[in-house]
Amino acid sequence: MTEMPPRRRGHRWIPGDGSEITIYVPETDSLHVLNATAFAIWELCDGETDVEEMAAAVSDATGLPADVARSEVSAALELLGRAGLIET
Amino acid sequence: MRILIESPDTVYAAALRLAIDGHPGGRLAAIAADHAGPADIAVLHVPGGPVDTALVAVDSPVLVLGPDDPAALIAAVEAGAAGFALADAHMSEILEAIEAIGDGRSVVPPTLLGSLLRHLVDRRRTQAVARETLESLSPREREVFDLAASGFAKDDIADRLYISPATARTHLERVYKKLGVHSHAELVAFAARVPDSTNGGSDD
Repeated sequence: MTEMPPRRRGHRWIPGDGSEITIYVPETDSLHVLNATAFAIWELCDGETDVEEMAAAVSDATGLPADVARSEVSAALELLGRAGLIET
Repeated sequence: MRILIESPDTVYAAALRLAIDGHPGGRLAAIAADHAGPADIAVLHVPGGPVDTALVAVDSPVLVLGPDDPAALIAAVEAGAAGFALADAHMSEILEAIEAIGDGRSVVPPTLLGSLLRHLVDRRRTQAVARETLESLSPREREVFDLAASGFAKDDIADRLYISPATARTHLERVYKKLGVHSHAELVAFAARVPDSTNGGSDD
C-alpha cells in the first residue's frame, strides 16, 4: 500500500527560545512541545511531501546517512502522529 | 584548531577573536589573515544578509555567522558553507558551532531548520524535473549540451563533433528549446543547477 504524504493539522504555533517550540491545538485546546527537528518535520507535513523527500532533505541538511535520516524522520512522524499533530 | 575570522565589523571580529583564544581547553586559536598555512576553519561574519558566493571559495570548512533570516541561511548553504549560526547568538553558542564544524558536523539554527528543509525538498524536485528534461534530449543533442555546458562555443562544438557550424547551431537551438532556455549563459546556469548533469565533453 502506498504511503500517503503526511499532512499537519492546521494549528497555530508559539515560537520559543529556539531549542523547543510549543504548538497549540485549538481543536483540543492542548499544548505540545517539540524539539527543533520534530518541529521542522511537522512544518514539512503539507500533504504533498512524502517521507522519502523529507529524509533526503534531512540527509542533505545534516550529512546523516540516508537510512539514518529516514529512521529519524519516521520516528518524528510517529511522535507527531501520537500527539495528534498530523493526520493519520 | 586554527580559526580564521572574516568580518566587516572590527569590534565583532575582535570580540570573537578574544573568545576563541580564551576558550577553555586551548583547542581553538584565532589566526590572522596573513598567517602562514591554511586555517582549519574559516568563520565568515555576514551581518547584511546573503553570502557572496566568491567569498566561500576557500579550502577550509566555512561557518557563516549571519542574521536570523532563512534567505541568509539558504544562501550560505548554496554557497557551500559547512554551517550557519546566528551572529547575535551567545558567544558560547558560536564557539560550540565552531567546534561542531571542526568535528565534521553541520550547524543550523533550530528556528531556521524548517526553512532549510523546505528549500532542500524544493531543490531536489527542481533537479528531478531538470534531469527528466535532459533525458528528453536525443543522443546528439545530449553531446551538444554536454559540450556547451562545459564552456565550448558553437564552432568548437562543431569541430569536436565533426559537424558543420550550421548543424551545430541547429542542434543547439533544439537543445535551448527543450530546456526552456534562450542563451548559452542560461544553458550553463541550467547545468549548474543539476549536479553531475554533464558528461564533461570527453575526448573520445
